[in-house]
Amino acid sequence: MLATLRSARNLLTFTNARGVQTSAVRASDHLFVHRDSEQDNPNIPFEFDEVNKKRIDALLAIYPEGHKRGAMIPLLDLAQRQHGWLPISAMHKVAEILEVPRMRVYEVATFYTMFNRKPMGKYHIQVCTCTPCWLRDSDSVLNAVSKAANCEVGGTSPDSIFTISEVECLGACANAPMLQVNDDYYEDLTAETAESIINALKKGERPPPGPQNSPRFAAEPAGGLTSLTSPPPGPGEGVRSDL
Amino acid sequence: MGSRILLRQCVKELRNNNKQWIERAIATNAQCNTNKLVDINKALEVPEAEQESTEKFLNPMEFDRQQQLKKYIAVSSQENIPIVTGIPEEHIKTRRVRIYQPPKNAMQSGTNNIHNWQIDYDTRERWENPLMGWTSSGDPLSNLKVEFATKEEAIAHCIKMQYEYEIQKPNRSQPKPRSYGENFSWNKRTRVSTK
Amino acid sequence: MLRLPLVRATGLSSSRLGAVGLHTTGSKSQASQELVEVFIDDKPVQVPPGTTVLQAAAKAGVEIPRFCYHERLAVAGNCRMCLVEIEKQIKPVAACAMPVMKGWRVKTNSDLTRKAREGVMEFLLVNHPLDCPICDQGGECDLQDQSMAFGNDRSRFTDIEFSGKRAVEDKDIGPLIKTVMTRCIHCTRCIRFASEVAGLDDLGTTGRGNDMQVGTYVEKMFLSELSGNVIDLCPVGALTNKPYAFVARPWENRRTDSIDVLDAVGSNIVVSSRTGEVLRILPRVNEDVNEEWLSDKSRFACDGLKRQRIITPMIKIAGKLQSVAWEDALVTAAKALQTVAGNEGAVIAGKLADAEALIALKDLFNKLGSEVLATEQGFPKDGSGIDLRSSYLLNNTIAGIEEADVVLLIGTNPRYEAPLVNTRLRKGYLHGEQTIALIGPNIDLSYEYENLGDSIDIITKLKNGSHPFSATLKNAKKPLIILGAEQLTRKDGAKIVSETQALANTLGNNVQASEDWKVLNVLHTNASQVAALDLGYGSTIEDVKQQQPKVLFLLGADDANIKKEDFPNTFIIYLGSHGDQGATIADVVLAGAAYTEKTGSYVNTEGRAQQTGAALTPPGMARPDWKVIRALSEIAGHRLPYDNITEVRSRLEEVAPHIVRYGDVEPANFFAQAHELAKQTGGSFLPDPVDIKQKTLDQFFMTDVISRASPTMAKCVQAAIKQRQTEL
Repeated sequence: MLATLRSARNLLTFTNARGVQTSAVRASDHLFVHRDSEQDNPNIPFEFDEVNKKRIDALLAIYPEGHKRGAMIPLLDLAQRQHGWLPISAMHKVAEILEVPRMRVYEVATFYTMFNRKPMGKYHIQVCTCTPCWLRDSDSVLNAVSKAANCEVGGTSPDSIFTISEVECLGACANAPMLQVNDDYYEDLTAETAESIINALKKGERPPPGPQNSPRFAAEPAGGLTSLTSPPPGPGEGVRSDL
Repeated sequence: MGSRILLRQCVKELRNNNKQWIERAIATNAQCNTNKLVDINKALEVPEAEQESTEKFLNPMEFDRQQQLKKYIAVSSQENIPIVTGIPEEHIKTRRVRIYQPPKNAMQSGTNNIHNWQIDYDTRERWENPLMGWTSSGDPLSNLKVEFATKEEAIAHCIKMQYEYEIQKPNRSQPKPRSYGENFSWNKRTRVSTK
Repeated sequence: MLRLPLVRATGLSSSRLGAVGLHTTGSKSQASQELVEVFIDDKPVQVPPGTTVLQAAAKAGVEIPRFCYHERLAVAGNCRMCLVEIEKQIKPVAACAMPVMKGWRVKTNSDLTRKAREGVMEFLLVNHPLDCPICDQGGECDLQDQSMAFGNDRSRFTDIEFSGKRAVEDKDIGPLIKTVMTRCIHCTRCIRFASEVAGLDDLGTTGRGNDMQVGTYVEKMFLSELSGNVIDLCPVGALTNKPYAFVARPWENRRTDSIDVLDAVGSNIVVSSRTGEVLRILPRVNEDVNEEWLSDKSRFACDGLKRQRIITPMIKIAGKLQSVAWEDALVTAAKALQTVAGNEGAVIAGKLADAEALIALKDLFNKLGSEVLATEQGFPKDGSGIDLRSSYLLNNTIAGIEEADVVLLIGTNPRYEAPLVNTRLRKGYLHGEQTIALIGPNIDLSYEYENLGDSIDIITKLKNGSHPFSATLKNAKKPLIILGAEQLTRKDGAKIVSETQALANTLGNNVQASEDWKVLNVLHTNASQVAALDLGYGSTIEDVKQQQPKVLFLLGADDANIKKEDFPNTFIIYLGSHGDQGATIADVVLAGAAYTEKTGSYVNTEGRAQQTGAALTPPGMARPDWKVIRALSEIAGHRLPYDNITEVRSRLEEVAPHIVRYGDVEPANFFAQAHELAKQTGGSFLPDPVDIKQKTLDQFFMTDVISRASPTMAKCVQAAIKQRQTEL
């Protein structure tokens, strides 16, 4: 009797200690259904321009017959570059070209975060706030950019020149912190250099991409090379002289 | 199960040279009689050890009484169970019984509960109770479903109960081999969905 | 599509077969007979190669839990519920997608398997709302059942920040399907069904990760003639039956096995009823007929069984129908019948009539001396007429359609006339690389087909070989012709039949397939048609109009073609379940039963006899049709010699024995003889183009009295029209 009581007590005191660690459910700031709006509805016609039509032909030629739908992402990208963002009528156009149901295009367009299904500013500024950049004070860069562009994070400035978004790692951690303006990477930033980039963009200039205010050309060590300093040995190095 | 018992009884009776009995038994069991005669003949050839009833030793007086009674009580060849069960005659003679395998619930994927056979009865009138608006029925068998392991058991039950029955054909299913690769087959139309 | 020869595929398999010492050429049948032995929980089972672990386990009698896997859909392998342990493999594998290998030992109940299931279950439940009490799937929910059986018994989910679970907004996808998308577990069964079976690529997943959702992206209704099946497929309560929402729990319902009569397919159904009303209709698996699907009309028109019903007999007094007692109605009808002599009486049998009523009515009118027995949809009398069954059946059976390699549709839209025949065609198109062609107007059949034009003389051209498509037909190994029954009502119907028979005959001579392969098939739209033709209802409405009978008996005939103007001096008796076209022109209305209220025999378009089950009793004073006719016969002085359903059926058996052999197809024969007889058919084709009544979805929903009385069907028609307008 006592033994069973004890074992029962043991059972009670043993609680399932490991709980599931759940992080807060963070929903994306994007909407994954389409809502008709003035700028974005199926009645607005979309047509690729002549240059892009040629590009489309070239792209479709890459893919074998029966696999035309493989060209979906390049085509959507073309549409986005042409229009600045990806309206629903552009998706419909792509579906028409590839002869796939529209839903199959929607699926791809909503899956990839690089397809912007909302009207965007002229410059899409993506500030990396992932761990390495964050350790190198990306917060101040983000604040500086937001202030200089007069645009809140995740939004578009009133003059629709800038759209700022906070993004995860863009793969330039060696040059943290960094931001991306359309296709250009600006690296090794400080709050000041970030601000100057925005100001230059405002004037319509294109500041040279790459590491800013830094002796570096790319991602090499800032203090000069620490290895492979000697010139590479030519052919015949260490080989018997009689050969 | 029931038919096996019947068979054994037949053999016993035959041993007692009661030919009539077996003929009648076969006649009643006409549904599944093709192999019966062969079986019975076979069973007849098998020698059976004499069985002594334990009753004889334990309770000789009762045993004697039973022996005496046997001379007067003739067991009918046809098991007339319905009379004994007390089921009203109406529900024996006028009911149609359906023997079927329950269908899979279309809403669910489980199939563990459909590998049996059931019987149910024809639908009788139901009416709306004028007082409360409830649905009433005068049919005591309306909610009755009896489960059996096999079709034969169900049939044996219906014969025993003297129901008129019909058998619903079970669904045949022959699953085709499915392959995940079909989704990506490059030269077939099976490549329709992206999921 | 690129159709390179299957060198790669065959090369691969042949090398593998070569290794085990089989002939490499033509070894497909041998290879399929070669079985692989695997062990499911140490139970040996022999399966053909390529079988998945899940199917092998099913064969061994072990059921592996699953959500995304469905045996009639493509394998997705995304729910991971079917994870099982396989000996000597370090990780659990998804049983639904993994083909078995020789000698595998699968453990479906090991610690690893159980742990894997618990883990999957836990993740599914973390994102699933705990709203079972208000969920319509409750009680027949796979997630509920499987979490009971395979899930952990306690929850580790703590919503510490009270931030709530993931939530997804609901979609409006039409009047039939209610969506609660938060409950969705992303099994993608609905998406796969839509794109594979329904042929409607409107559903998909948008977003990714935690934001992924199933939907249409744009606001759009999921309108298809088969959309209701996604309700069945959905393993949770994300997609539920809208008209049935919050109506009943499954355990409250009485289930009656029955068959559907709203089209000529004879889909097997289960009628769920409670307290004297049909609440919903579900499909019942029958591999030979409807597989596991059901058309929307059959599924959702059941609320039409409660409306527009004739619950008492009625007599037209001073131009108005007035409710009367059975005696009065029967006596009035019988008096009219007594005046009839010879062919002065006529019968038109409607779409939904059962064989019992048909035989009783035929016997009664034959006793009166009349032979004018017509069906709503006439069949030409020339040639063999209705004497040889082969000329009016879907001879090759519904299941046989998917085996064909070339199909020629003549004046039929199977998508709306028989949705479950169309699923077979689509299956053949997808899995059997079927070539399909149509003579008729341009319609959407949910698969690609070649439209040969809408001129009827194309049949002759195909026969002569002067049409470009005839080469394809000639080279076909298993050609199939499906002729729409609607075309037979044309003035040149007899010619169409005879020419089609001739075409089928020429093709049949070419066919290298087995003797059983039947080229000629007729697709009917009316459930009663085949039984009526079997029983000898050989006349058409036109015949009846010419006859100008004294008494016309409408057995549930509500066709728009039957007008009072055509029968100015005729006494019309209507026996049916719904107050529709037929009842309004009748002088006496007798209250009959609908198909859920009687045990009736029907023969579907392929000649398969099936019976409905009585789920309810007929409302009010209504009675099963054959009983009414029996009562009428007695009063009219021509007593029919049967008093109960068994006796009626033995009478049926005398006339047409196959009608009471339920579940079986009675195959038709005498194709050659029918063709010989048809040769004598004269006449020529009319210049009218081939037209089809049901061309678009809105024309699909309301075709008979039950669906016309159904408010749900009315909503569907509205929705279909609205959708079409927005798309234009």
